[in-house]
Formats: sequence, C-alpha cells, structure tokens
Amino acid sequence: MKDFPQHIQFRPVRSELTTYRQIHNAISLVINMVIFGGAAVLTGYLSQPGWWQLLLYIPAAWILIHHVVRIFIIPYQVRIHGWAEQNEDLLVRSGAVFRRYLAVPYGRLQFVVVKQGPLQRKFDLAELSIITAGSNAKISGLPTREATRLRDDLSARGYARLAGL
Amino acid sequence: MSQPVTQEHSSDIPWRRVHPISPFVRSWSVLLIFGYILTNLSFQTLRNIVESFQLSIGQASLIFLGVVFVALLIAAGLYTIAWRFYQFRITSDAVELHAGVIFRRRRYMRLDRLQAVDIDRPLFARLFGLSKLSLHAADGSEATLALEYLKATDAEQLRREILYLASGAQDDPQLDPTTDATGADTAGSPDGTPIAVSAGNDTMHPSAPHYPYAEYLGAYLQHNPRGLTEAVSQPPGVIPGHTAATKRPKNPPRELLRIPLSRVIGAGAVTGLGAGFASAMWALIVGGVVLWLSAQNDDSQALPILIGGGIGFLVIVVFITIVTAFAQVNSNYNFTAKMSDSGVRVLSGLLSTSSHTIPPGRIQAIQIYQPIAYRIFGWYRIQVTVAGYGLTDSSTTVLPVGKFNDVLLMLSVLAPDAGVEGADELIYNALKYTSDDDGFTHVPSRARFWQPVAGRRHGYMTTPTLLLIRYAKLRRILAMIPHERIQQSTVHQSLSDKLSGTVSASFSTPPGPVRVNISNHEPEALIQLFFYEAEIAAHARRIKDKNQWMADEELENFEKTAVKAKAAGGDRA
Amino acid sequence: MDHENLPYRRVSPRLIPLRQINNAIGFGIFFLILVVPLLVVHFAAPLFFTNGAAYLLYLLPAGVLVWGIVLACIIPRQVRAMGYLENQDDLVLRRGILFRHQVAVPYGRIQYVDIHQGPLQRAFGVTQISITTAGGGTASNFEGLPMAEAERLRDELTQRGYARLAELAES
Repeated sequence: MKDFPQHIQFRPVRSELTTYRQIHNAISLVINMVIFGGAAVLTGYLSQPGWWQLLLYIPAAWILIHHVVRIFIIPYQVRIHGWAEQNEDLLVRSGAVFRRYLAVPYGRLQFVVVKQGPLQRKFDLAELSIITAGSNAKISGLPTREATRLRDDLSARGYARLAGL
Repeated sequence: MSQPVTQEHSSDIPWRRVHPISPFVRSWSVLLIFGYILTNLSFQTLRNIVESFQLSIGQASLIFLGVVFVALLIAAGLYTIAWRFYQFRITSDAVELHAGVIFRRRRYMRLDRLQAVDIDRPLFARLFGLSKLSLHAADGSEATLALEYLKATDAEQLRREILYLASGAQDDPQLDPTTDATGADTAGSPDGTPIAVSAGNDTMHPSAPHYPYAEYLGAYLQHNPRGLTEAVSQPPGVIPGHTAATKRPKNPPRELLRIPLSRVIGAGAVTGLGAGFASAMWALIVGGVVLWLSAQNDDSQALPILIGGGIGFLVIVVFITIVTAFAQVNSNYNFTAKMSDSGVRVLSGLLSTSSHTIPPGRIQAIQIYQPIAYRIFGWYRIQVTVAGYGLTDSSTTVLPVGKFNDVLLMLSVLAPDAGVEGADELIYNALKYTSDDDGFTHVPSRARFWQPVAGRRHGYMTTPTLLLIRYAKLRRILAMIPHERIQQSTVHQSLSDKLSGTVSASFSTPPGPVRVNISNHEPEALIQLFFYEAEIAAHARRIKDKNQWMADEELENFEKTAVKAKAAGGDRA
Repeated sequence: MDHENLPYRRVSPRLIPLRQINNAIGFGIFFLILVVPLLVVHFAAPLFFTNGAAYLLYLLPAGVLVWGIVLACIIPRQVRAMGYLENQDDLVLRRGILFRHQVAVPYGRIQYVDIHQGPLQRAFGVTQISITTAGGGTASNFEGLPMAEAERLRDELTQRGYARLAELAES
C-alpha cells in the first residue's frame, strides 16, 4: 500500500516483541507437531499400510509450513506494527504482507483492555485492545508503562469527546 | 400503571410487576411441548404404549389430559413464583429491574441509553389483550428489559412515558405524554390515508414530510468545518440558528405509509416462490445424482424412483413455498410506518402483531435491498442498523416491501438529507443502473476477476452527509451510512488486492444487517476516503450523537467539552 | 503491570472460600466423571487392563486432580490480585497474577449494570457485577463485591459519567 501518506509518524512497538513471538511460535510449533504428528504416526501404525497414509501427514505438514513461514514473517510484522496518536483518532498499522491501517476516533472508544502473560512480562510487553461498538483495534508489544499511559490517555480523550454511542 | 412517573426521588417510586395473568399465559407454552411429543410419535408407538399399560383409548386419553393439566399447573406455579420476583420500576432517569428467585439479578439502565422500544403481541397474549414491551440498549440483539406481559393499553402508556422520559423533554410542558391522547396504536391516522408523495424532487414537494433531523442538520451546518452550507439543501421550514431558541411544537404521530394488502400478499408469494425455487434447484441436483447412480446399477428400478422422487419433490416445494409465503404475509400484514416526536414507528402483523419504535438519532446505517424476486415489480426493502437490535431480522426491517416512492418517504425520516441536488435521482440511479457518470467509483478492470458477479457495479460515493456503498448485480444493495455514525475505519490489502494492486476498506458500524465493506478499489482514492471519513467523523459526531434527543443543553455541553478537549488534545499530540 | 502503587480497592476476602468450594465442586465432578467409568471397567472387565498401557488412562483423572489442587493453591492469591479503581474518567478492573488482565471502562460508556447473586454467593455475601457497553456486550464480569458496595458502585458508575461531563463543560 504505497499510496498511504508517508508523513504520518508511527511509533514502533518494542523490538522484544520479535523474540516473544518467535518463542511463542516455537512453543506452538512443538505442541502442534506433537499432537498432529503423533496422531498421524499412531494412526499409520495402527492401520493397514498403503499410499493413503501419506494423507495423514497433511495437517502436520500444513502446520509445519505455517509456522516456518511465520518465523520469517515475524520480524517484518513487528517492524511494521505501530501506532500514531493523532488529534482526533488513533491510527494502528499492522501486517507484514497484507498491510492494514485502522483508525479509531477517540470519541468512539467503548472500553480498553490491557493484557499481559508471564512470558510477555519477562520482555516487558503488554497488549492493548481498544473496543468500539463496531469492532476492535489491538496493539501488541507495548512497554507496560506505555500501555498504562495510553490506556489512561485514551479514556481521558474518549471522555472529552464522549458521544452517544 | 396509568399514573405518569413524576417523582424525582427514586426511592419513592414503587416497584411494579407485570400483569398477574401473565404466568398463566406463559405456561401455555408447555402445551407446545406435548404437541411436539405427540406429533413426533407415530400412531403405532402410541398404541404400543397404550397397550403395554393395558388401558382403553378413553382411559389413556384421560390420563394424558391429566398429565398435561398437572404439567400446566406446575409450569404456572413456577411462572407465578418467577412473576412475583420479577419487579421493575421506571424512575425519572433510569429503568431498574429485580429478577430471579435463586439466582438474583438486578439491572440498572439509564433511560437515555435507550435505543429502541418494541411492543409485541404474540397470538396467545393477544387473545388475553396483553402485550410484551421490550426496551433495547446498545448491547446487541436481546432485549435489555422485557416485560411479559402488560395490558395492551398499559404497554402503550408505558412506552409513551419511557420515550418521553428518555427524550429529556421533561421541562417542556408541551411534550407531556399525558396530553398525548392521540392513541398511536389505533388503526390509522385521523384522515386514514397515507400521504401521497410523488417521485422527483422530494424536498420541494408541498406535502413532503417534516424532517425530524432538521434541527440537527441546522446545527450541523453551523458547526461544519467544511462549510457545507451551500451544498446542503435546506429542508423546508428550518432556519439554522433559530433551532435552539424555538421549542418544537408537539408533533402528533403522523402516518407515513401503509403497505396495501395486495402488495404484502404479492411479496409473500414471490418470496415463497423464490424459496421454493431455490429448494427445487437443490432437490433437482441431489435427485439427479441419486438417479444417475441408480441408473448405473440397475435400469428397472429407475422409473418408480423417478415418479416417487418427483411427487415428493413437488410436495416439498409447494410446502416450502406456502410456509415462507404465509410467514411473510403474517409478519408484514397491515404494515404501517409512523413518525412522531419519539421517532419512527413501524407496526405490522396478522396473527401476532409487533411494533418497533426507534427514537431519533438511533439509526446507525440504512440499507436499501432489492432481492432478485422483487426486481420484476420494482419493489424494495429497507433494513437499518440499530445498536439495540443487532442482527435480528424482523426488527431491523423498517420497510418489508415498497415501491421507490415509499423508499424515498422512509428515507426522509430515517436518513439525514443526502446534501446534494437531486438526491432522489442519485439513489434511483444508484439502485437501477451502472452508468459511468453517476458518481460511484468502480472496481478497476484489473480487479474485475475478484468481483465476478458484481463487477463494476460495486462502488462507493460520498455526499456531504452520507457514505453510499453499492453492491451486487443480480440483487441490488445500496448501503447508506451517515459519516458521523462510523465507529472505526480500516484499510487493508487482502491477497486479491495484493495481486491486482488494489485496496479494500471497511467502515464499521455497530453489528447490524447493513454491509460496510468496500473491496478491490483504487488505492489512492480509497485511502483518501479513509482519512476523509476519519476527519468528518471526528467533527460531525459531536453534533449528531445525542443521548437525549430533546434536551438542548446537552448539545451545548458537548460543544464546550469538545472545544476544551481539542485544546487538550492539541497539547498532547 | 504498572499502577501497583495506585489505591486499588480489594474485593471481599470471603470470595476465597466461595471460589474454593466452586473449584472443589467443579473439579470433583470432572474427576468423578473420569474415574468412575474407569474403575467400573477395571472391575467389570479386567481383560481390558491386561495391557499395561491401559493403566495410562488413569493419568487423565490424576492430571485433573493435580490441576484442581494447583488452582486451589492459586485461588487466594488470585482473589487478592483482583482489584478495582475508580479513576476520574474511568473504572479500572484488574485481575490475574500470571496472566494479567485490566479493563478500563469510561463511565459515560456504560449502557447498563447488572448485579447477579446466586445461592452460594448469597451465603458468602458477595455478588457479581457485570458492566455492559455497546462494544460487543459485557465489558467485564467482576465477582466479589458485597451487595451494598456493589449497589454503591453501580450508582456511582451510572451517575458519575454525567457529573463528569458537566464538570468538563463548566470549566
């Protein structure tokens, strides 16, 4: 999306998000491989041998490809991910391959959720979701302090621009 | 119940219950269960059961009736307990509910959160002269407060009171609901005839409907940063600047339109046939495959299967057609749309009747929809997104079947003025044609592949007040979203966009039937629209989003707040 | 997360025994559902257990039991980590130790407030308060406030938005 104006300064999320996502991805890969690969091997072992047994490995292979591709995409994703606080709305940019820009007017905010898991805490990452009546916007990989600041700011700004719905 | 609520202190207001007969009315649903059981058991099974207990038919029926009676009694008892613990009250600014025996629930809703009020009269309740009143807040589909059942007149009175309190017009003696004795639910307006409106320049027509958004629009003009004063055509009788000073006189409910029975039946028949045809196609495909398979194996069996299948197929098609058509006619019978101070009101129904009241400023988006079957007759359907209704189909349809004039008439009360010259022609052309100069954008030819049916027809257009999005080619859909209703906007590139160098966007409104996505468009223009919407929403939303639609001071508060916020926001950014 | 030193208000400590009971009942039923059929099979059809691998099935109820006990140990800390803060503009609810979760609801966005109380909750004198906004239903369920406090909070929440708006408008 080259036509998107370049002058808007997006604040990047923490680069540690890459590490966190890679670890998360790796764990997910291992668990999924154990489940799907194990199921495939077990079924193959228990059933009549034949060419169709190869089909059993399709889910596992698909998951493997998915995760391996993610390993290469994650750094780009994190580099692209960012947000810009404008006068009237918050812009969120995401997506390495399929770019997505989101604008949430402050006055439309319904509530804000901040989440942090144990691994995220280790890297000082927090995930902020802004919920409006239409849909949600999510910023991952904020520093905890920044997430809290943003949460309070959004509430205050949303308040000042409070609208019926 | 007939006393209007005037007390100020909430503790003084007594708790009320719904009508004492309602537990008995509700317990009739138990009969349905028995009916279901009976219809699901075959005659043979029933006889086996009777014989196994060595009873005669008479004894068996007696025992069965006894069981039904006991079940009814138990249900009525349970419902009575629930009834005793279901208490509500309406104070001057809130609705409170205390419910539940074992699991207790207390609900508190401020009245200015009200999004819509419905009165339903299911067939059974109707026989007892009872109605169900539901209040909707912006929480999705289910009713926030459902009062099952109230006496029909009480329900009407309560609806008027609630809308009056919610409008914030208490200080205005002219708007006292107790003097509102027009009987909004009696059949028809005094003159009994819908207002005839000719097509063409709607706004200039002498009998053109009064614009309920007139003062909002006036305020909108004053505050609009883009200087749209010239561009927006003035609704008659509105002088910007005088809107806040002059109190609006009480508007008696006015009938906008009534759908003739012939059209209701016609639409029912057409829709039924459509459903029958669709199921026929499926049956043909499935039957064809089965036939082909059987023909492969054994030829002699094919003919009886063909005949049997054909008969069964016909029966199913006729059945589906009749059921769909009847359901349509039943729900749309005597469809009437009215307009009053408390908003748009639509009433309809043959066996069970329902009425929906949507106060001003609660409509988030509008969609004109023309199913394929309606195209022959030039009929349209209008659906709206209201935060309180969510996706429920029956409540969101504010015009089930209407000619183009009816569409214009409804739009005049549902949507703000389009703000351009010849808005009616614009909408007409938008629905009817795919001409190249009607102002709508097109899917670029390099992305045609991704829009195989809609093709170039899929596009959008903006007017000073509305974002119009057009979809589909066989059926026709035109979504109209007032700029200031857009909650959040997104531009993104999907795989198809990536391959053809286009961009997609989505302008979200609260969940509802109106479609809000634009796919596969020129990047530059769509990104411009993205920023345009963000900006216009930021300014316009201050004017139009009012909780209490009759309270003037709220608007002022809002403006002051907005100015201050802007200053504060400017410091921060 | 941040905000540790802000005056979050705690929920009633009586929520701890209530949650312990709920936890015990929930996991107890789950455990019995798993273990009873196994024991029945064990004694009714011993043939099935001739294969040693079958004993691995006992790992399932054992795992459930261990998980339930772990949760039971966490509950007191969990309840102590729950808190709510009435800010100037919004109500902040937080919960969780490992997986932390904070919701901030601006007062003016609240559509309606529900207070629920089931029989066990009534016995322990706590309630569950749920706040609904237009953003896809319930913003937050928050358990553990005594009825009086819940009602106070509800009135505060629903009135405060308007007071705050007026305040903003005047200044």
